Amino acid sequence: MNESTMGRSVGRATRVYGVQGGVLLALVVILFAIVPEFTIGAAVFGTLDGVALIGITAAGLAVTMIAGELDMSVGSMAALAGVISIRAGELGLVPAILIGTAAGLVLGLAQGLLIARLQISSLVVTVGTWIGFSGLALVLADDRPIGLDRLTTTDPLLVEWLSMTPATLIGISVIVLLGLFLGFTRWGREIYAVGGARREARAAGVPVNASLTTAFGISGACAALAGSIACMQGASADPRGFTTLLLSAVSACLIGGISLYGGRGNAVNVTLGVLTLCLIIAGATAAGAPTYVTGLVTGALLMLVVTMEFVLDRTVAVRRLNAARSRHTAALLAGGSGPAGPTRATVAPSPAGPGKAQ
Amino acid sequence: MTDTTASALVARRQEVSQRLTRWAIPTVFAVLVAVAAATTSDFLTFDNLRGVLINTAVTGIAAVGMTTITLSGNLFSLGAGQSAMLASILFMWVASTGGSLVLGVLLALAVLVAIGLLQSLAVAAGLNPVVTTIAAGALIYGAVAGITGGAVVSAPTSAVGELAAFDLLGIPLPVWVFAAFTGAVWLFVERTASGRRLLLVGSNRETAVMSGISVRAATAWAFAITSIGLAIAGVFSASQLGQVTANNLSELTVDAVAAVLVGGTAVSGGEGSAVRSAVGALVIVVLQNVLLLHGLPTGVRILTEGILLVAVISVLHMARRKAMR
Repeated sequence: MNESTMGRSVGRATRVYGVQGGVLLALVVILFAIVPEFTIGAAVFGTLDGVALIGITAAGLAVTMIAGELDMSVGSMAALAGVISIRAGELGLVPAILIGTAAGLVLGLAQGLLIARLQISSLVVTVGTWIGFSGLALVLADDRPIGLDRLTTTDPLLVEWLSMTPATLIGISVIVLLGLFLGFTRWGREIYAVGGARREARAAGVPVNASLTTAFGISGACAALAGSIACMQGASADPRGFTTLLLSAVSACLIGGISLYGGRGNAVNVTLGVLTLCLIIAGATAAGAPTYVTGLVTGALLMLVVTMEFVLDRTVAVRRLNAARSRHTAALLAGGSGPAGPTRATVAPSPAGPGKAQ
Repeated sequence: MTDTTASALVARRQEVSQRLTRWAIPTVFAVLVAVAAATTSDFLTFDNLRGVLINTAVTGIAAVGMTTITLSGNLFSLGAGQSAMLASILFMWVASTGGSLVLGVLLALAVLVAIGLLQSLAVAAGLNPVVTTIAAGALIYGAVAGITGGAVVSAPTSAVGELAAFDLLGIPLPVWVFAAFTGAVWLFVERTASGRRLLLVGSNRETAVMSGISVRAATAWAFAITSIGLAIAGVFSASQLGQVTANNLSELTVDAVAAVLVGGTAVSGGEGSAVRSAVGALVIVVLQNVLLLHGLPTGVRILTEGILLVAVISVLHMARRKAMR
């Protein structure tokens, strides 16, 4: 009994994280095999270094994806927050980052409120705010890259401890905190409900508007935090920067196994995706490859993982359908009084919605 | 009795909403032009209007093509900029090896349509269009940057520049092609069987499937037309600039999506038109032009574009929802 429960939970973990874990493992093996410069030290440092910017942004973006939406404005939000932080740099390191993050939170909440109240596609609204935030960043920076006057302000960000910078530590804590929020708080569970089945959630009394607003507030604040930290680390901000951040963050989430259709994914998925992406970047850097290699590998991996998930979902659905059918026939042969009704009920959803079968 | 009144009321509401979505953008455009003409003396000069049209052409052609993807219910192509960039590079490469311009254009068209059809297969099979096109864009960018090594591709001895500079009645070729392509896509969607099927797949996929319409064929049409638009946009952009790199046209994706949205095409699919996307692209460029003539910095111009976009889509969305109730 005990053994079978354990076996089942291992089986469940393989089913849920199998593709992502396999890809990550294969990637590590391939990198060590083909890139001689890729040592354990380089792997750990390079990966952890990337966790801050991509990890924080991806964690926030994951929340909107779980809510069944997508925040396309994260790139210009990071640029805007970076500009705000550098402008507020006189106040000191922590206040500057906090002000940048707060601005992201407020703007994110505002666009979440708009999306929720109008029940409008977030893809559309956030394309608009993507352009708008980018304009605002240019206005605040006078159309040019800006720098800090006192470079010593950022010194605390540059210390290193067990090959971890403060930025990495913040990144890890953000992912952990969001994981706890999503998994164990009422608000977090409501975000899953809103993403998985919005009408049913509304009917069951979940405050859908509040959930959506919260989700976009979180993703705005995370993108802003990531942008602020990155800009403070470099002591300068480019209002036209972070153009590839959206691609990286979306790729990390999707490679990690978070569904674009909502309701599926958690902090483990974010971690797996971010680790995979950061490993690719670290491997490319160690091999001295130009930056476009990262894009090429990311694109290929994204396509691979999404196709694998798609095919697996289909086969799982078909297998379940077949199993249920044979059970149904067996019941009929045994006398027909059997579980025809309930079997049908369990069969019905699998072919209709393979994406949400789990 | 009450039933007929109710349905008449609904029909009337729908009519009002349809009229609003149909005439909102032309009205915004007319008001914008009127305000521009009244406040800026330089706006209504031939040279300025010509400049506006030239600036609209590349984005406009891409937006008009992409409208078919939105109409077919597949949102957008988020790899549009990279695809157009690939077309620029192919065109320029053929020119630099001494090939004719026609050959360059044909190669760009063929490669882009092939890539578009591949994406359409994945999308029609059920993969999310956003993910598919993002991944395709990343792959194209990586491949092109890898092959060119990030270097500038140019063809100084060839006549690439003549394509964009070719003048007919004082208006350069890209503007004529922009107008012709808009007309062609509009005719395709409104007047051909394949176009009507594409529209039905976008507005109600289940009904379309039940009436025996192939989702795969409709999606393939949409991606093929988008790819043709992107190839033309890329070729003209290369011809205008005279040299291209893998980093060119990175803004095209968001600009084209913005034009489609300002044009009032519904992201849910099935409702909208290529002509309105073309007007949407014009509205954005005219707005930028007016603000520029008033001496406002880039940031303010981009911010205004964003605000316009959010305002237009919010108003149109609310009008549609009112009609649905």
